[in-house]
Amino acid sequence: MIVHQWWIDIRARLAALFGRRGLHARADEELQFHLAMLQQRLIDSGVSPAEARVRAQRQLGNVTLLRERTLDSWRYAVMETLFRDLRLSVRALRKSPGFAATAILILAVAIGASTAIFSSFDALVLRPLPYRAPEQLVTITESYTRFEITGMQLADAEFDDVRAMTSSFSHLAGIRNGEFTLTGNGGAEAVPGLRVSASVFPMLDVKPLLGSPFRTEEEEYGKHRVVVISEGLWRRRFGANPHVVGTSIEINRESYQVVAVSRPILEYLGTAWDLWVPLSVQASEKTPASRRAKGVNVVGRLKPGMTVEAAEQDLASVTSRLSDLYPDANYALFGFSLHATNLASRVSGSLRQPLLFLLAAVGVLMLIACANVSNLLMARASARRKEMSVRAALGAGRLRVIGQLMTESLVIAGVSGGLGLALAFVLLKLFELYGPTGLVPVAGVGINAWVVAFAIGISSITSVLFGLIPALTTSAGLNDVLKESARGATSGRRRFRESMVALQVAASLVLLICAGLLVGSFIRAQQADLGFDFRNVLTFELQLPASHYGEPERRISLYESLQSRLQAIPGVVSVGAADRIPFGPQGGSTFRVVGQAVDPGSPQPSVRPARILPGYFESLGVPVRKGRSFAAADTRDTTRVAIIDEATARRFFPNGEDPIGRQVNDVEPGLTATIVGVVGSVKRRDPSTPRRCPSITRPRRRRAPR
Amino acid sequence: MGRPQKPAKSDVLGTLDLLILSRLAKEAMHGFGIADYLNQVSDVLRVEEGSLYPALHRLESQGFVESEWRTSAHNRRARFYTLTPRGRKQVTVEISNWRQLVEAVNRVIDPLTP
Repeated sequence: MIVHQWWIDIRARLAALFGRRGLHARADEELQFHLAMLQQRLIDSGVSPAEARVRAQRQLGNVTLLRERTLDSWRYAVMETLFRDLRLSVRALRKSPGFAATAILILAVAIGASTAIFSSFDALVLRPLPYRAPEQLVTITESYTRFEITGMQLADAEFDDVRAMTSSFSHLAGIRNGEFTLTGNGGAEAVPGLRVSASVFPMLDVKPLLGSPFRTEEEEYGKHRVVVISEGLWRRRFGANPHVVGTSIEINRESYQVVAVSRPILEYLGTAWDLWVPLSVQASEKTPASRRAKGVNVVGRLKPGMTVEAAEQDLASVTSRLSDLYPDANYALFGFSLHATNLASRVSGSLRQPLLFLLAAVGVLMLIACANVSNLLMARASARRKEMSVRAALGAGRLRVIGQLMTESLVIAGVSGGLGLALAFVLLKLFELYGPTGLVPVAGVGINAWVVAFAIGISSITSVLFGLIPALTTSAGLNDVLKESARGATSGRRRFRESMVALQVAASLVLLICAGLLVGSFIRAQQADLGFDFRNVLTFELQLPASHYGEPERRISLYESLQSRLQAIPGVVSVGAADRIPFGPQGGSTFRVVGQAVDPGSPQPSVRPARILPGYFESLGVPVRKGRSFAAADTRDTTRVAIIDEATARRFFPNGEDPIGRQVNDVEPGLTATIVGVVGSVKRRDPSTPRRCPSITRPRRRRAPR
Repeated sequence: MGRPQKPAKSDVLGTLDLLILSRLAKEAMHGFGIADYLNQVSDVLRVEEGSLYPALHRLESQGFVESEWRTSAHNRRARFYTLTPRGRKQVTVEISNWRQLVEAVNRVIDPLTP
């Protein structure tokens, strides 16, 4: 009966919302029909038509007023039941503020936590790419079976080849990280930026806020000094100047023309970028050796109807053509191949599992909260049963009573949902402000329509979850309450409360165990031996514009003067420098010990090379196990020297030979260096992974002073 | 149903709904027909014709009656009202309520009734 009433309410509300004109016309027509009939009757009895008209109108009354009153019937019917139940609910809750506050608080916390996690899940896993038709976007990477490498970026020349030889893509864009320092008015500022193909903007279907993005012609070296800046940079550094397009700004000491202001794009690559310049390559850099200099992230949009598998086929033919065309690049020997992967799955891949885990955790939390509130409602039920039995005695049906109780639950859930949403907003803001940076691309995470819909949905579902059983129990056998024997219902309630307690204990235990495991892992990660002492170590990054520091001598003399000046600061114990530091970006390189036979068929291990200034190992507290560290005497003119770590030593000298004095082929092709020392291994990435990556270190050297 | 009724001016003891529903229990009818019938049957029950339509619409919004356009005896389009199954139940309830009320009132005003 009550359900039927709701259905009618909904129908009537829809009618009032969408069919108001229809109702209006209908009431008018009915009243006009009535008038016409009255008039006809009067005319039939001999009254003149004009007179009949006046008398009929008098008899019926003011038609406009009647129409409004008629339409009001609908309006009242719709609103009244709803408002009355809501009013009653609010009144009932205000009568027991302790209960209301507790229930609302419990649910608000649970809904807040769930909404915050869902908002991350939504932004990072469900819709990681905020662009048109993200399922068409793929990324193209290289694999080398010989070196057990997958997911590698392409070289510039290879990107050109893919562009020329494939037909599966409507757009292909290369993206390369760059180092950008803004100078000129406002002081020097290092900003995150990318070198991108002009096609990236049409590919992502991103329209700039001002101006228009650079064109493909501007990828040509020499015409490439144009830049698209981010909205953030535009506001921060250029005071949101509406005439910024067309002006020149100084990037890396060169003058670039601003052509557009855009919303942030490609944030999935790690951060909110501030500028984009054309991906251009100097002709002089296009050498056969450049095929080994990887670094271009390639993203493509599949043509409509094209699948990732078809694109893979397309790329397989490119793979074999490249192997034939460039025998010097050793493609076949290294087991080279090109692959297309769905970009969204690649972006969200690593985050999917932890976020699903968190989502499950907050789901359990939600259940516990529901069970809690359910129990509170049950405790209230004995008091409410008197009230409800009076209602029943006055003629309220059981469904009517349930409806009233459920409306109360809905009010509790509604208020909690609102508070929860606010809490989620605060939590996300706090994470953005104080959370670890770089761990999760938080830029896209926020409260949007989906998240609000989720909060509303979860609130409604919880209201049913926690409210239905108490409502059913409370409303059962109301007729017996006033007669004092209500034992049956009481035992039913006890059973319910006991099962609720069991559910809560079980769910809490699961959560506790998971939380305990997480904390355990966290502590282990904290205590993991990283191979260096990170306490009291500060780092910073330095980018030198190639225009002024192209000469290695100039760079090294700057480094050395910096080093001695930093060293002079009171409290500084030691100063070192490296082009790659632990937990920063890492590069790989092949490595071979001179005199060791290499099996051409087996995978060749790569090492992570770094070039350092003396003082580096001392600053990080990395112990020298054998031989010596670099000395000031190791200059460009003396013997080329290298230091390897223990993992490298174990890998390349498995039988305990002494690595000191052995020659290795290192980064620079054709040159060898002599190993002078072995140092402790340093973890370079995730502290929980074993030390898989051996490393080799060579000094940054200068010519000996003459 | 719980919703408070707003009695029309000439709604004798709040019986306008009862009168409308009873009339419709016999056959489907348009508003003019209902008013005409009530006026013919008794001078006492004379309904103010204007209050009929708000009542009809309210009964429809409550699900007691349904309506549709049909052609009247005079070959004009008119809105005909029919009872829903729920309305049919409601009529019997209201009639028995009314009978009880009349009985009770009779008992009070007739000293000869035991």
